[in-house]
Amino acid sequence: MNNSGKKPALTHEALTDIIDLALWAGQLLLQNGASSHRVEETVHQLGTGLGCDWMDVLVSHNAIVVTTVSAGDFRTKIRRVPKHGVDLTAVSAVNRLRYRISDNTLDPPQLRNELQRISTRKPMYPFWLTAVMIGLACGAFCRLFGGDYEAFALTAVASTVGMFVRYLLLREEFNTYLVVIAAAFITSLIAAMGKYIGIHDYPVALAAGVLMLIPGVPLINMVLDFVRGHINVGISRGILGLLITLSIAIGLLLAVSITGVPGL
Amino acid sequence: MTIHLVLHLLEDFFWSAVAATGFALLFNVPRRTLLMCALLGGVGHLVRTVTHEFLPIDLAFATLIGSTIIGFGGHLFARRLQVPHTVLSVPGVIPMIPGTFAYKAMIGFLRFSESTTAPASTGLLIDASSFAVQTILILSAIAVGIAIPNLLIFRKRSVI
Repeated sequence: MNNSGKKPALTHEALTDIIDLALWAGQLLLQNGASSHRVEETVHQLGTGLGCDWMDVLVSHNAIVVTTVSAGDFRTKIRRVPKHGVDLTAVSAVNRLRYRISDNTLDPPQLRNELQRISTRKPMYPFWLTAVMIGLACGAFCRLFGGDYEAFALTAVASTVGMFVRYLLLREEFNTYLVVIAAAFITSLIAAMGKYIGIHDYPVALAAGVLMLIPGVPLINMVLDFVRGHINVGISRGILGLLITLSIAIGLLLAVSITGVPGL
Repeated sequence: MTIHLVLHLLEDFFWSAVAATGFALLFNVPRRTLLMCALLGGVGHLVRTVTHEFLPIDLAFATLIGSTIIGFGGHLFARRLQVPHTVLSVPGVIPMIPGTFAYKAMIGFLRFSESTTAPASTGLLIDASSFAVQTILILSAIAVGIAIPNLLIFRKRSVI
């Protein structure tokens, strides 16, 4: 920061306010699937943009620690980020706030309103639409893997039902891995029914149906974190991705061993 | 012959775009970026298919080429759509996920665990391991491809 040191000293209340807002923004980013570098950079820019001299950020898998400095006075605060999901609209909305801060067109009360709006916003797409589109997406995978149109329809139905299972179980606050196992199991069970109703390519449907559960965002963020030097967060994300992938395998193999193992 | 080829490639593009769109909805991307997610998903997978099928390039390397193009596309349109580049590139690379390889590896390991006769079970283990390695290679290629634009072009110094 070229003007660091020349900024006026902040009052205790102002410093508390800034650290709260910056942590809130960081939490929104981390829990919705941003890479550690983006969390670090955004929190830092919000803090310095709102009047701190400097802001240091420590990102961990399930917490953010921030130390903020103003005229020699410093404070540190931790915020836990226990829940992880993927909401890229929230990530891009917080990201845009960062540009408005550096343009000086956003003051702390406005930022608080914006963060409140982002936190309480409804999902961009109704759930049934997402479920149907995910069904079509897994059907598309089936076609890409060489399945015929019967297998496409089978996959689409299986994945859509699987999405509903996942949604209902997540709403009941079941454990993440259990939810994945159950959704993979139900999806695979429906896909395996293709054997009994004479769908020749049903093994392709089995392979394509569970792909909606693949932890794509943690796995990609793992590599982005590794590249930027956030080795520890990257490892946590990799382990999370591995555990979810193993849960998919458990659900799929359970269904397959009940109905008889097919080849591909 | 040519018609067949064109149809094959068109279908490849179309289904990849559908897969990318589905996951874009799941990841709750802003509405204004949906079309670009679909486009990047289609183009990336098409590039992979073309390089793999018409050039002597193996699938993992072809995947790297495809995902690198998606990564650059994400950076290119991120500014215009006012989103982080990953909002465009993450749904875009989804169609390249090696579902069949992962499935074959899983089923292979299951069969190996149930097999009791020595030479046959060795063969099962080798096959399953080979599919598992392919899966890991392709998944790594997908993720590294997204990071490549950052490594090569957008090397701006971090503010922190």
